[in-house]
Amino acid sequence: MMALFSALAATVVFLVLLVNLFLYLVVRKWRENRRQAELRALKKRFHLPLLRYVLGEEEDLPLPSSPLEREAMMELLDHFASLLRGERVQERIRTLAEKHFQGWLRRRLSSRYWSERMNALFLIEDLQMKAMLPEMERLYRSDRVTRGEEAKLLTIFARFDYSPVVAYVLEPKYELTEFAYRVIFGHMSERLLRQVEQRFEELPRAGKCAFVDMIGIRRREERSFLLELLASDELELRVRALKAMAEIGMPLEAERLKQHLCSPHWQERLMAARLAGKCREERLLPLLYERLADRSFVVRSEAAAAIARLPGGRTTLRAAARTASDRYARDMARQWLGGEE
Amino acid sequence: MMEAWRSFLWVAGHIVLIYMVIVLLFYAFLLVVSFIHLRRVHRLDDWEPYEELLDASYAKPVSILVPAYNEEAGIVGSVRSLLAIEYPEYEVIVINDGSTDKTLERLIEHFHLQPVYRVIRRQLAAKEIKAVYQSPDYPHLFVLDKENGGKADALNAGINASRYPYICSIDGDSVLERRAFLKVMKPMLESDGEIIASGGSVRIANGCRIERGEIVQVGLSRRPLVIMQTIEYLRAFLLGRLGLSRHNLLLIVSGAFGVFSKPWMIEAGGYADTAGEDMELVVRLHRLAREKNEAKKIIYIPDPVCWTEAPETYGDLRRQRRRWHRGLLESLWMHRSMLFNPKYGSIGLLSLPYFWFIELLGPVVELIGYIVVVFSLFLGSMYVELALLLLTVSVLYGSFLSAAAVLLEEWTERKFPNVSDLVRLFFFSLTETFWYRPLTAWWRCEGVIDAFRRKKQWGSIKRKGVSA
Repeated sequence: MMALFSALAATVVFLVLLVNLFLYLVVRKWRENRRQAELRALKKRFHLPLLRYVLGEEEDLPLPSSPLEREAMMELLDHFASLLRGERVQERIRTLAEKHFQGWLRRRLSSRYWSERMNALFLIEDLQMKAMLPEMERLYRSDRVTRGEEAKLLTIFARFDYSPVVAYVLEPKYELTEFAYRVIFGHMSERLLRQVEQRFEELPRAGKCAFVDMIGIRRREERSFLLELLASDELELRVRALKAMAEIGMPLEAERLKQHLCSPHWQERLMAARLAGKCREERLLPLLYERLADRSFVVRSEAAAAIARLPGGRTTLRAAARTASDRYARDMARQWLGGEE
Repeated sequence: MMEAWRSFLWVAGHIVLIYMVIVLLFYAFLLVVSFIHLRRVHRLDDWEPYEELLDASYAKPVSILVPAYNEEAGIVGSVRSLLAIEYPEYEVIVINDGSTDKTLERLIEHFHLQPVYRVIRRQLAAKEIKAVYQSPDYPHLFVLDKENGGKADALNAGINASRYPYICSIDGDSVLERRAFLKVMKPMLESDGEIIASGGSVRIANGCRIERGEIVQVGLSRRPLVIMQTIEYLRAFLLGRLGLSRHNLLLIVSGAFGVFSKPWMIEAGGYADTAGEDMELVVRLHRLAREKNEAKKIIYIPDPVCWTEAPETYGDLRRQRRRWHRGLLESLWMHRSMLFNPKYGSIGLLSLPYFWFIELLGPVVELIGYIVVVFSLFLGSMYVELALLLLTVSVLYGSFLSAAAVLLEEWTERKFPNVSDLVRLFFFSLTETFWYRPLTAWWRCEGVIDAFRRKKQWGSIKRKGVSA
């Protein structure tokens, strides 16, 4: 009997709790829906005047008088910032945001909710609010900064061309992933990148890899730096350097390329084959022909692609498709010849 | 005889009772864990964190596999929606698993497919591929025509033909949000390979407005059977998976939407021919990672990124549940040596016991519970008390937990726009114990029986074609 009573009591307690929570949520949802409707209406009302203002067609602007109005304006500004191009417009958006929304964003940045701080950072980034740099620096130095915020902050620092970021990426508070490094380097100016390059050796491994990749992606003419890396003891760095050179189309002498094409590591052979395809030297054809029978599928495939790109390559492929002693080589050549035959 | 029956009811009733109380406590614990996590991220801007990924130089390419067996009704629509997703670099590979209807013809006609020569790297065993087609209008769309070999076989053939380092498999009948890939790939990219599989949460599309392969408005179906499934999905995803994902204990990346690292998939041996090939693969990936002693993770994204059509009739739902449960049993049985094996760490000591005793055994125990309740009512006061006790606990176990999941969703994610949706979800969730639970418990028990009889089929249900 006792058990039944306690079970019933638990049920009743839970039911009361659930129903209360339910009622609270219904009211909240109703209110939130109404708030969203108001927000939409406000955005509609501000849309034209704000647009005219940022385009410079109008100098007067109705200023926000309530938190909801501020939110509506903020969202519109964010929208315009991503939509409208042009130095002058972006500048007007930035000045407007710095003038009216700084205090609000500052409070957001010191919020105890992680998500509010992150959203503030997104806005600062979109609206290019460089005036917020001291606040962000403070957040970066504080103890409660999280991994996600660190990556975002460093990205913003890089975008705003803020020099201390160089020291930060060399010795981040939390270990940064290769992806995070890529994003940060992707936003850095040439000036900052050169500073990082000078201290390349101090970068953590993930940072080094991302840095070399970024040379290829941003097509930076860093020939001597890449050539130096080709002699590195670390396989990963040699592979990345070859990849970057292939991306840029930076030619390499046949002699040196041969070394990499015969490497014991398939990743290195793969990238060397890709680079060979960009070098436009007929002398490379016999070397690549050998690679058509490589142990690794991806190397065979890349070698065929490279041959197809070289002058006289298609003839070589046709010959390979007919006469190569290796079945893999024949198949691969056929695929790259496509519908021909 | 009567005496034996009575004592059976008495003992069985108590076992069921103890079982339910333990499970209840366990779920309550998970509820708290997922609550804390969801609260932390709940006000984060929806889109901003993903913007960066749209730059092709940061993102890694994905091969999307769409196995299709007799899906002429919806296949063109699904493929169209896949061709419109927002991701920098991907290919779509449709695998026609020897359909007997016009699936292939529809595809060829609609996308003007041309046969091409493509070297297929046979890394996984799969039935012969008869032809490869490519679309001149969409160069990243390929269609493989192969001999019938079942869903797992079709997926393996797709993996062999794929070019990219990440694999995603999608059921032909789901609608993806355009940003689904960005959301699911983000953690994988950011982790530099530490995460080897990532799944997004699946929601029910019935009742939503879909235009040209995209969800335009989230809504709730009017059919009680679909509403109950919506609640069930909320409960499973918000409670079970998030709670487990937090501690890398996840065992299911839904077959409807998940992304895997290809090298790991191949090393694990690809998909196996079971009814629940998706779950089995995830168990095998965990197993491989533990055996190689590498700290790899499988995660779950609570954002609803994939919408799927739920069965609307009792017959279809029954077939689906039977197949799911049989798949669960088969996967667990295949990997039974991992159960309570300290070599597999928390997976062996926590996750697998959870799936054995709660997911698999749950419906059997529940069914016994319902039987005990019904019979006890005729056996005098002492038994009536037992019956009432059991009923109360199962209301807590079924209805209240579901109601809590509904409220948790509303507190944090808020995907349903109308107040009336919330009201309906809440009230239906309270009725769960009285009709939906016993029904599904019975169907799942049928699945267990099927597993012992080894029934095989593709298990297709009638589709209206959600994305058409």
